[in-house]
Amino acid sequence: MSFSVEEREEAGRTVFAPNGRLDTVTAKEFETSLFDRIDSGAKDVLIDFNQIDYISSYGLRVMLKAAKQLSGDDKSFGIFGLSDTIKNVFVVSGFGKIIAISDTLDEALGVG
Amino acid sequence: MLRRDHSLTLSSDLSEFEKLVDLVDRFADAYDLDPVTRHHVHLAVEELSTNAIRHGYRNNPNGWIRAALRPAGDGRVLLSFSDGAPSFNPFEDAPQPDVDATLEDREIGGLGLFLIRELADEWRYDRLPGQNRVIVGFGPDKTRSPRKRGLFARLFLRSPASS
Repeated sequence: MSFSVEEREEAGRTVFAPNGRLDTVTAKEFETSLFDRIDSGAKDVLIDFNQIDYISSYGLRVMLKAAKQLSGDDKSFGIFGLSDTIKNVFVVSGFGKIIAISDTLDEALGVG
Repeated sequence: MLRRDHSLTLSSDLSEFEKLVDLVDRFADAYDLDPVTRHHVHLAVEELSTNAIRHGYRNNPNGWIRAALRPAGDGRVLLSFSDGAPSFNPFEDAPQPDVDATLEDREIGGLGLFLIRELADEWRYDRLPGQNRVIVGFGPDKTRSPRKRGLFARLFLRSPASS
């Protein structure tokens, strides 16, 4: 199954852009690369969902775990660029209230 | 494979998971499913199969799972999922997540079966001799076309509105 993730820096944030599906197999792969960076010091993290067309409960679980780990004064976590379908899955899960969801990167960076 | 035969029986082993993804993709392409319905059918197949394997069979790969998809008219889809694990009604026996919890209190996990109920149009569970069988009805994407239910669904499936 095709899955890849790119990482870049934007205005002091670490931005991850996974590509493909966040399912029970691929989200586990993504979890490993994401938490490697968080454990080695990334404090402000954004996830770019523009290239994600599917998410299951396993993908949601990884997002919740990251949001929990990056909550607190000197840390931040947010996601942006979700399709309407995927945004709806987050909202139905109750994550709309506990994870910062933005439409665009600029909005996520607070300059939109 | 015949066009109308979109079913697959697999061992209860997560290493077979990609075959289920392929099954849904082939079905969705053959019947030109709208993107929302395609997403939710993928989700239901994944959540039901991973739940059966991890919890029903407790990761014992010697069991079986079966997924079958068929069109039900008007862009609707019926998924039939069965397994030979101990009796378990995914719509009533699973603990419900607290979707109003704060970030601090929100527990990780427990969302999969909840999401099927929230996103599907209809669902039904039956304990048959030696197997669990779930039927879930989806679509079509209600943002694109008026909601129409197939006769099968009206007759045999329980709708969220009447439960």
